[in-house]
Amino acid sequence: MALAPSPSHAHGSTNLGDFYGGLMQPLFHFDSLLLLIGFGAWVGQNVDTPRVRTAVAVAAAALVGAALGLVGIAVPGAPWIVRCGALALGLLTLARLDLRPELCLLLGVVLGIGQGNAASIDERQTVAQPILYALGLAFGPILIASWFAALVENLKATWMDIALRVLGSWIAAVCLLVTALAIAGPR
Amino acid sequence: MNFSKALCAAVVLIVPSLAGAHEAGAPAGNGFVAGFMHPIGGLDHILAMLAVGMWGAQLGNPAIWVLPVAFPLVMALGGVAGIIGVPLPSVELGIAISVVILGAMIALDRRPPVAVAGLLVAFFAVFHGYAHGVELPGQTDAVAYSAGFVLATGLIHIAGIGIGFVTELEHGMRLLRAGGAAISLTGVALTWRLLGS
Repeated sequence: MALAPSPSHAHGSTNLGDFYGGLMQPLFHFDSLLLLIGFGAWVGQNVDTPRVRTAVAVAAAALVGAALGLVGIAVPGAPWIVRCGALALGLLTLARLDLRPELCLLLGVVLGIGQGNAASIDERQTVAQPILYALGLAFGPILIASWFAALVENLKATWMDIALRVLGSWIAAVCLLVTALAIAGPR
Repeated sequence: MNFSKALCAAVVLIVPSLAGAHEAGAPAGNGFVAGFMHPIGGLDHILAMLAVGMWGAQLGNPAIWVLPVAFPLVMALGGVAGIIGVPLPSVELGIAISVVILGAMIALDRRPPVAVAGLLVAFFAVFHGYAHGVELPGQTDAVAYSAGFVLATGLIHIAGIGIGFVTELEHGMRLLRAGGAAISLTGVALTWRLLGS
């Protein structure tokens, strides 16, 4: 192995590279990550949220958004949906506000389409297997948001409630600044 | 010269070289690290953030979380004002006075209603946020920078809350109030220096 590093392909071709790329996209894009953490925190905080249906709605919408992006159709304002969605989720978490089930689903669909489209529109030239990439983009939000929601659900101490509200305020504060910077343009 | 005067004089001599977060420009580096280091790089900002957490802990629930939640949100609004160029006079003086007032609130064990405490903290947060917004380095990853300085601010609040738990100890409230007095005196020194320059 030491003498012949080239044959050692620990991460060699499995034909899943683009799936993995889609799956990991939020981890390398802070605004997407904030959106999904905010989503997981809010869903985990509010027990009446239809979690499974909302998660399926987000994944399906992300798949649609990604498919549109990968064929070159940009959803108007998709990056703004991601930023403003994270801001809204931060404020919902801070205020510990639940929404009616149909509004939860609508929010999930809008955020999913925005996230999927924003994450794919600039990648369509570099992605070799668009279907796998789109599937990765659909599963990524479910994994990250579900993990965070499960974490929140299982840590129901009084301090967790406070920590969640603080986290919500941090997400909202970051998104406010990012939105202002985007409006102000390059400095 | 009594002890408090001696302490004040020592602080005046020592502090000016440390208090430079909002004068020498933003720290080097871009993105998350630059944002994270910006609040940490200046004594005035650190002391005000610590005081917010300490005062919240002193006031107890719900102030213990309302104050640290209100601060970053309003600070972000102040940052927005700085980014888009809304004029705000005497920003540095506002920051220095925030250290004086917040420290004094702890030292004097003032316990206003939570709404009043929140409004006071929010008022000063505007100045801190404005300074961050104005000094945002060019060509910076905006999301990473914002996340960095909000996270740093939040962590300093948490450190302040941790210090506030000293009240659990015997004579802890006295210790906390002494800490508040030290913060306030440092704020006086910072204000004195600003007015003299």
